[in-house]
Amino acid sequence: MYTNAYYVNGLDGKPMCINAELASGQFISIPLDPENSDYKNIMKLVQEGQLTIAPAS
Amino acid sequence: MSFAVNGTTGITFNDNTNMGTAASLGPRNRIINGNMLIDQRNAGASVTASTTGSDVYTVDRWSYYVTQASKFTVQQNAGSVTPPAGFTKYLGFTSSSAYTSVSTDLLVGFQWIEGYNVADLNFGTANAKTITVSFWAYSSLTGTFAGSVVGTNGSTFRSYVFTFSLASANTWTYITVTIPGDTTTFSYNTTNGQGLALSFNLGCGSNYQTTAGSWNSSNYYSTSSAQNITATSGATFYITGVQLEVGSVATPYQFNTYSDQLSQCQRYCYRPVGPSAYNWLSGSGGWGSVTNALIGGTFPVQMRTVPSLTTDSSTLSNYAVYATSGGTFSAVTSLSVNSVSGTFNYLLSVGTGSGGTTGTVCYLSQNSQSTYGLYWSAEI
Repeated sequence: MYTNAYYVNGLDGKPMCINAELASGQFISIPLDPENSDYKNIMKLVQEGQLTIAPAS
Repeated sequence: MSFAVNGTTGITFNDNTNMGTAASLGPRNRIINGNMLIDQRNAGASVTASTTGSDVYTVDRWSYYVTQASKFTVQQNAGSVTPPAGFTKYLGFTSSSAYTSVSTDLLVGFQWIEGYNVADLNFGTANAKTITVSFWAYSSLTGTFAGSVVGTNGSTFRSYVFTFSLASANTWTYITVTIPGDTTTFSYNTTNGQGLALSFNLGCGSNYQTTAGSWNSSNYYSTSSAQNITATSGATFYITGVQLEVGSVATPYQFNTYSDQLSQCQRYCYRPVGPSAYNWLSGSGGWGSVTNALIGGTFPVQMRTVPSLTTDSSTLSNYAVYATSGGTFSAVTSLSVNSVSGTFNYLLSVGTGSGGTTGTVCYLSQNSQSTYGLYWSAEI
């Protein structure tokens, strides 16, 4: 569902969100909030080894 | 108007409608957008159910979950049939092929009700309340169809499968199903998570089938004999007027004003809509540098949780930062939800290749008269 996922750092140098592309071709920016459904879904994929989130560049 | 009072059905009016319990006097329907009126994401466009393994939203608050891609399409007012009297919209599923489901297949359309909105049902306790589900259904097929009510504590499930019959093809039929409350001890979510799901089977395999009419300690969605519309190419299944309420009697569908219903939906999805190209997609912000702006805004209602931001186009240059001082549009090169975003307000960090003047005011907008929008999602 998510591809090309990567962390984005805030001004404090710490990760503030995850950006990715959806299978539908849309761009998505996901807050690091454990109650956010997209965050839950993307972390589930990471735990299952189906997705890697690149570090902030 | 005359009416009759009965110890079982409550008050019955001379148009055959009922008010079964005292709860009927207040807001009754726990389903949001049960008449399928609001479709912020797709604006009535058909969508192929191509994404597997996660909840994908169609009309507001309604989603599908599939384990096999592209077995059906889903659309507000699919097939353009006349809705039941009093309704203008319905949600339509259309089978794309004749697919025989395997045991592990799960293909359903459903709505998660937020825990806050079903907390009073006392499910999972000895005081669980009886509920009644009612809706209008229409299909090109006839026979027995299935749906279910599902709850979860985050790791395990409870479910109650029900069946209903559609005797005439291509005819709207009013369905009511009364379901006893779940008195088995279980920690249903009663806050802002997954409270109860009301689902409709589209193509479940045997792993998700059980006998209808009792509560189970797993997530079941159908029976072995219910229709899978995905087994018949071109088969249709339409629903509208969906209501889930306390009590053993189905009361008439609770219509809301459009503004109230839109506000209910916007707790879970908010799509800024402007009148024309170049419309603003945010509140105001400021340039922090030549190439970066912090742009904020306020949601129309408090969202369920901090939302994700999804753009219609993956090409970010279809969006721009508009500088009010010079009246220029600078194409967006990066777009991120800032960590200070909340459920009332948000802040975006927006990058551009150039065009900023530090300290001046700007907005996020469409670029080059594109028609691409965006939406915020805090779905369950």
